[in-house]
Amino acid sequence: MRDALAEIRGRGAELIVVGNGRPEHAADFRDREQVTSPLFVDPELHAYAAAGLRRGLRSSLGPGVLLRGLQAFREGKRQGATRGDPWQQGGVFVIAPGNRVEFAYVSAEAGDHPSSAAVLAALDRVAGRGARRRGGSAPRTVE
Amino acid sequence: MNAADRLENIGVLDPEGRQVRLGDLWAKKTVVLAFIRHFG
Repeated sequence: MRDALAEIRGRGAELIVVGNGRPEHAADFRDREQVTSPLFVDPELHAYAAAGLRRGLRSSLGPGVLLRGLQAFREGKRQGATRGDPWQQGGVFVIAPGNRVEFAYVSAEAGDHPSSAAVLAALDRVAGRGARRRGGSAPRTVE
Repeated sequence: MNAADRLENIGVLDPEGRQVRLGDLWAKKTVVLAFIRHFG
């Protein structure tokens, strides 16, 4: 996703990253990876839950991720206090002003991400809709 | 009620520990909101 950052910004949008650790983890990550996108943490997982993101053994230990899941579990047992919840899955949303959700992707398991092309296409739809609205057609909301 | 409606009033913390309302982030511009599994 970070590879697509220039293309996201080129479309007038911003990449917002939410993680599930503590603020200092986000600060470390920002400094280490030289991240220029706004970073936030949701230690209590309220936003993850509201977004309908998955959490639990089943979504974490699909056939393709069993070994990685077990490794994460070991790391979680050892580093859970510093790295967040190893069972929490992620997701990506494209949200335009007015709470318009143009794209929603809930990761089914570790390593499951939407393609950058799908995200950029959603941004293009938002931009196109803005242009059409100036021409008089109705906005469309997708979820 | 869509995901943005459910998320807008939830507070998250920036790297300095300041609380930010999620809905403020997309009040004026479109965002790609990426939830990651963990930092690191």
